[in-house]
Amino acid sequence: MVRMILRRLGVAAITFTLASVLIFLLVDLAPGDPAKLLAERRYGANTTVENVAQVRSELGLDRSAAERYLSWIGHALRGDFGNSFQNGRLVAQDLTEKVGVTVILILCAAVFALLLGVLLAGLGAWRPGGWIDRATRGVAMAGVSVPMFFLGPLLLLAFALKSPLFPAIGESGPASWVLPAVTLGCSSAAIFAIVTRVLVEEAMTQQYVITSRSVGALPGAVLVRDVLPNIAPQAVTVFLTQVGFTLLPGTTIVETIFAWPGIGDYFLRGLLFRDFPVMQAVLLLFVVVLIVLNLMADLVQGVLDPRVRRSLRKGTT
Amino acid sequence: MTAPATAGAGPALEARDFSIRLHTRAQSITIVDEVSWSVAPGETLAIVGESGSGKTVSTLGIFGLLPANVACDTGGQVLLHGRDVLGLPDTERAKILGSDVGVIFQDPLTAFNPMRRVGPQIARSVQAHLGLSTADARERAVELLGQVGIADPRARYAAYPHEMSGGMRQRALVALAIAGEPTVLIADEPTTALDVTTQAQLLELLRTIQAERGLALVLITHDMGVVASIADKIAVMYAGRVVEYGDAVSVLGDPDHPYTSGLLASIADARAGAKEPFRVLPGLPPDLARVGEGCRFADRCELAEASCADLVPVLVPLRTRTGGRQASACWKHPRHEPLTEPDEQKAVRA
Repeated sequence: MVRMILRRLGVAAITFTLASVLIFLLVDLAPGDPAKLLAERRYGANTTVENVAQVRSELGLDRSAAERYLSWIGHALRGDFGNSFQNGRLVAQDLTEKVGVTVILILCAAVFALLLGVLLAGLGAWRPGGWIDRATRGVAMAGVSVPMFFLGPLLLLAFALKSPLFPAIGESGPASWVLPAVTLGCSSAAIFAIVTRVLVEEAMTQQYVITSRSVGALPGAVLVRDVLPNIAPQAVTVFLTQVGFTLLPGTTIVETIFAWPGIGDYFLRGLLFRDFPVMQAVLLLFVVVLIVLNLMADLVQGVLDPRVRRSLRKGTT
Repeated sequence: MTAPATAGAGPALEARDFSIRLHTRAQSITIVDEVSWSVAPGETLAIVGESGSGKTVSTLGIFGLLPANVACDTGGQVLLHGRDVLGLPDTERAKILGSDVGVIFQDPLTAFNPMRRVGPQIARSVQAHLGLSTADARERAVELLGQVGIADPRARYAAYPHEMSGGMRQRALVALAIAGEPTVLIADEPTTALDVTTQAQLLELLRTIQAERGLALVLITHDMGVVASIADKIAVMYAGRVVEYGDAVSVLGDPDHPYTSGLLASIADARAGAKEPFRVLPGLPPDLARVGEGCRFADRCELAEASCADLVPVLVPLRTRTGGRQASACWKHPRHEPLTEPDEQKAVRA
């Protein structure tokens, strides 16, 4: 187990290094020149080439890319993401202030996706092929198909403006969490429901299910005692993948729609201004979260599946 | 056929013209066609035939133990101690399974839930059917593991299926099947997945358990060696129908149906010498979606005449040299004289 974790950590370190290089290069190569943008803001219409060059050297952008990367990653590893190009504020400080609401958003969306997904999959699995099964599949397909930028405004209109059940914008306590969490979690709930439903269906055809029935187990007991433990490792992996690849990037859209002062919103603002330190910091943060989620998925496999657990134990001796 | 009587006197399990129709999107296929047999307490019935002959479906199908995605309906009657058990609702069927009827499946690796320890899976059945407390059920499960010949059953109780050998898993599966103290045991190719020495041990175990508990044993197999060593009665299946049925001694010693003769002839004989080619039955069983009227074996049968394809032959009792009971479904009856009146045969044929 220890050796396995060490190996995973090694892989994670490599992933992190490669990702950090990619992030740096992509942000650097993206069209748009922050020095020019900042110079224009400072000097107005009659900005000269000299002004831009001066700003460029102030920002440190006149150094070579390799030099800048090493200095950036060196500081980032110590928790210093530099100063924002826009206003000179410390990016690390902005991040710590804004990370709270984003965590709330993602957690709420994840809980929503989990509950709705399990509910839909469970309803469908109860009578395979029945009308409830078909209906829940239909709902799930619709859920996958609706984009966040459409669902968000729709919910806003219906439940915040037409009938003001929830606050429309900003983060102001649990009531204000509902609409953004639903917007963010909807497609994940749907995907989770569809995948879980397929896993259940597949597990139901396994021989151990027939064995269980052969000793008199009723369908409900088979579902809870035989099917669930078998699909849990895969279901958890799918769920964590959804958190990493849908909920995390989705915060940029949802926080913008509902005017939440979180990381996603912060990233989008940085992007519009070519604020390199902000973009790089947020992307690096996302990468770290993804790596951690991946490690968690591996670990969960080991905890839930006795076969994996055993091979891990063997690996240490 | 004997009239159903109380448990002990009559057959433990009896199929009467039992049929299964399978429904696919395109069509309905009769995969088990009017099968009749019976097995008494303490008796062993072997159902033999090639792969796809319907031997597994015709037995597990009685209790709805086919894969969940198979849509089918049943016809005829199957009497468990005189009570018709076909078409029972799930809850009624669940009461029978495990407590009156135990099943041993073919592949011991996939038969246990891989995520759960073997012992508790057995204890769960004990608890459900014998109404013991959790602790007592656990003790009983350990006891059962010992009875089926698993060494150090207390330690093995906590093992996962993948931590056991194939033979050990098959033994554990026997323990699971008898956990609810059933009167009928169905074993679906219990030795197929095992190596030869383990096969012999498992057969011995089945025989011991059957003798101790007076179980009616239905053994599904394609291994004629297994049949010869354990069966009291044999039902030979071909393309969803029973083509020969009777005492093991009669059927094995003096088969009537050309298919049974072919099956017995195709057993590899070690004494025949390496130069001797294997004798095989030419051809393959028919596609059940395409079978028409007439004898289904006719295409592969050396004795077949054009008239064999007209009508399906039914099982007809035979006059045996030993005086045993034997019936076969063949128009030719190459080795025996049918006991049924010639007129009656004609009537069936007409």
